[in-house]
Amino acid sequence: MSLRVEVIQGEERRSFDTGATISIGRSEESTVVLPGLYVARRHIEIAQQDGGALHLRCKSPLGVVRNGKTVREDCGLQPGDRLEIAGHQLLLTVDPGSKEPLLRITVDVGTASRKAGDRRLDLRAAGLRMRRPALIAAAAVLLLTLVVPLLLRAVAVPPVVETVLPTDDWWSSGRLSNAHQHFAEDCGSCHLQLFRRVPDKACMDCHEGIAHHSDMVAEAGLSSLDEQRCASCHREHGGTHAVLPEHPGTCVDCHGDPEAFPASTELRRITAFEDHPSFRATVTRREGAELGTARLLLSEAPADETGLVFPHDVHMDEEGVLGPDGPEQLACSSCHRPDAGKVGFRAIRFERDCQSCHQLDLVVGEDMLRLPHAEPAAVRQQVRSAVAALPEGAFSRRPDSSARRRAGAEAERGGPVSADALVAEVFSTRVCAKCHEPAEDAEGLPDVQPVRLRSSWLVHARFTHADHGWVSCGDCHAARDSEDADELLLPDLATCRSCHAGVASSRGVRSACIDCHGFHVAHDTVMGWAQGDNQHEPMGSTGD
Amino acid sequence: MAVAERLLQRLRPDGAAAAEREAEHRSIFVYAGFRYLKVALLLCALSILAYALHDPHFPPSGNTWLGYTLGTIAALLIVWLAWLGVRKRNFRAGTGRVKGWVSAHVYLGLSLLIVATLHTGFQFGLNVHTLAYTLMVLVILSGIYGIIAYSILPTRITRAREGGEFREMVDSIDRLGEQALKLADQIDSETHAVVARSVGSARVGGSVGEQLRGRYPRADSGGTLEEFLKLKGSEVGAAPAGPSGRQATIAFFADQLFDSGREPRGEKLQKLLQVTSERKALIERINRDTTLRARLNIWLYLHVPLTIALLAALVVHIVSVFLYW
Repeated sequence: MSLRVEVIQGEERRSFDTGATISIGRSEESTVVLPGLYVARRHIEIAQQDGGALHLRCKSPLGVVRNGKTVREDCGLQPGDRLEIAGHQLLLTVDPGSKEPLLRITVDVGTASRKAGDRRLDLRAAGLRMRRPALIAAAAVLLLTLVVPLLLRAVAVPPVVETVLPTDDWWSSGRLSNAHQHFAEDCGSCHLQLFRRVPDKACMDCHEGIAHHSDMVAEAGLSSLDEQRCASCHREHGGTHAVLPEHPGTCVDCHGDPEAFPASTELRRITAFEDHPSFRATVTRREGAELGTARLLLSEAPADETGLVFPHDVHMDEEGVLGPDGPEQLACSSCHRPDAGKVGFRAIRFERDCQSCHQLDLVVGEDMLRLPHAEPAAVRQQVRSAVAALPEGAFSRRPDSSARRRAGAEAERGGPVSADALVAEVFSTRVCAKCHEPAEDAEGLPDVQPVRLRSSWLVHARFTHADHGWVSCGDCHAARDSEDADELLLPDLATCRSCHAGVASSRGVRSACIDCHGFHVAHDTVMGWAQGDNQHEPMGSTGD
Repeated sequence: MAVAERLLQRLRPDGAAAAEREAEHRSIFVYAGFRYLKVALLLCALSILAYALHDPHFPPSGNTWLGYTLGTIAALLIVWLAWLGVRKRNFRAGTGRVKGWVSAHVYLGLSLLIVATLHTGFQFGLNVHTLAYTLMVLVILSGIYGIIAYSILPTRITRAREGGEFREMVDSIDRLGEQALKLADQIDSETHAVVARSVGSARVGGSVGEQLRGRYPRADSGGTLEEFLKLKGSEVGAAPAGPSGRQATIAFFADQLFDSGREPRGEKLQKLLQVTSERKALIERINRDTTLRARLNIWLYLHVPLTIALLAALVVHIVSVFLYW
């Protein structure tokens, strides 16, 4: 029996048969000589035993690498085993011709330098690279934040895909306002076209029919308002409450320079809350029976011609007034009841607010007649009927009335001698006239002035009592000293400024223009489209 | 990119080159009477002033005229500085202009922290815009590390080399290893085996982590060689007295061997001990050198790839702003 050995050394290849034992090492006496200082003189022996099995004998403590593992003990060898000695490869295989075991030894001719090859003396040698990480990172950024979102925008995919893949959410520059949160899911609901600004159409789909700022087309042109888009003022992606423009500049850019808008005679200069001009109140004016309105400076104490006689000071007398159940103290809330939203107040109603004290009682003859709070014609008719029902002569003279008298009421003694005279008296000096200013109707019959109690006098401003409920009524309304129902009991700017200040101030409630004033107040124009004669190009048409 | 790869070879300080590099490094700060420091400070001051005075109708963001202005300045600076980074390494030959470029790169790069932050209007979120900002900050932070590393480490590298050339030191390892193996071979096969295993397994250098940490677990065979040589020495005729530190043992042992120099094997053993000790010390020195250079250069492996990623994010940032205008 013998072992066939094949030695491959560079280009050279030789093979020979050996005896039952071959020695491998650096020593010249070895069967196979391996070069290199890392090889022991006698490194290993491979012996063929009687049964033909091959056996490895380690002759040096340096050991040998067998199939990737270092062995230093003697062990059996199988065909297919790979040995390594200091870089030299030994493969045990079967000779295809003779079917005998074959040891193929590949001698490493560069052994000396092999050890040095494992040196990693800088970061690059240790495998650190710049180009590949740079390219991977840049490609990842482009892919994940641009290409994939663009594809997802173009191609409809199941929602589950969008939860996994990066979408155009990555392009969002900030949170949407609270009111528009539900659009955050779908950027395309506002950003209709790529590389196009958000068109007004995206807004108007929901905010249909929103009014414009001014009906004066010339002003819109002068102020370049007709070139603005919704998004010029309503900026999204700036936080939860960013959509309402609070900067005074949004308004005072124009309102600080009213001369630029000659057609708008009503405009007054304002640059900040601190130089807000005096309030202008809308009040009722009467020319005979004709009712009109006027806008007058509140600082000039304009009269609001209500048609009523109502002294607040009498009703709010600290001593109290005589009520149905004796003296009582009236408070503001006795008559002024907040409306459902506590923004303003419910309208004053005779039946609810006046009648419990002010019964419309009239003594006719011996009888007490209770007049209705109704149309003047009905009242006149009822008085006449009562007079006609009296026995002959009973009306000429009348005993002292036992009817209750209200504080300040005139004693009703003596009296008219005809029904017409009594009607005239009821309307002009007695029952009706206590609260209503007398008048004559178109036919010259006794009547009262029509009543107009406004719900608001500052029509271009929003004010809610709900937010001001912690202030007592008297702090703003000097009702206790008011003798005349026509007096406007509105607070002036100084009262507002005791709490409110401009947006740049740190000494009061920072108040922006839009805290009191609306922008979309025009009547004839609707955002984007002029109504009636005011035809002009739709707003923002340039940006669509 | 090829340029970025090439530049690294030049960044490896070798001996005198390190000292020269360090001097160059110092001079970039004071270049032309702090010209670029002044430019950067002026840019920062103007940006801060404009931001303070700017009263936009909407909360400060990139979407105001000042926001667009600062953003444009920042984007142009980023592109220009990235280009400078390439330029200044291409022309490392060391002209005055190169120093100017490095100086501009450092100071204007730092000023980006102010300009770009003001551009954001302090609005951050989970989006590509903040991604670009974050990458920029990381690039600048790695750059700051680079500035610090370049002002400290080259001196230490030069000092540690004591005038020696790094390549020579590395070559010496092979020479000493071969010498040790030859000596061991002359003693006996057992010694040869121990020395071959020790010399063969001791590695100089290491992985990225090992280089940065400065711990090289495979730098020596854990004292087995010394133990063996000590044992061998006692066989030959000299025994070291009492336990003591390893180095002391070796020194003591060497003396003992010297005394027993009449024995030819003892003489060889003593020589072998000298050679292996010298080799071990050399490996430690090279490893320390490798660590210092790794710490000197690691920032660049972040700085450059992050810069490329930043440029990509910057493109997406700008494009996406106009995609959804």
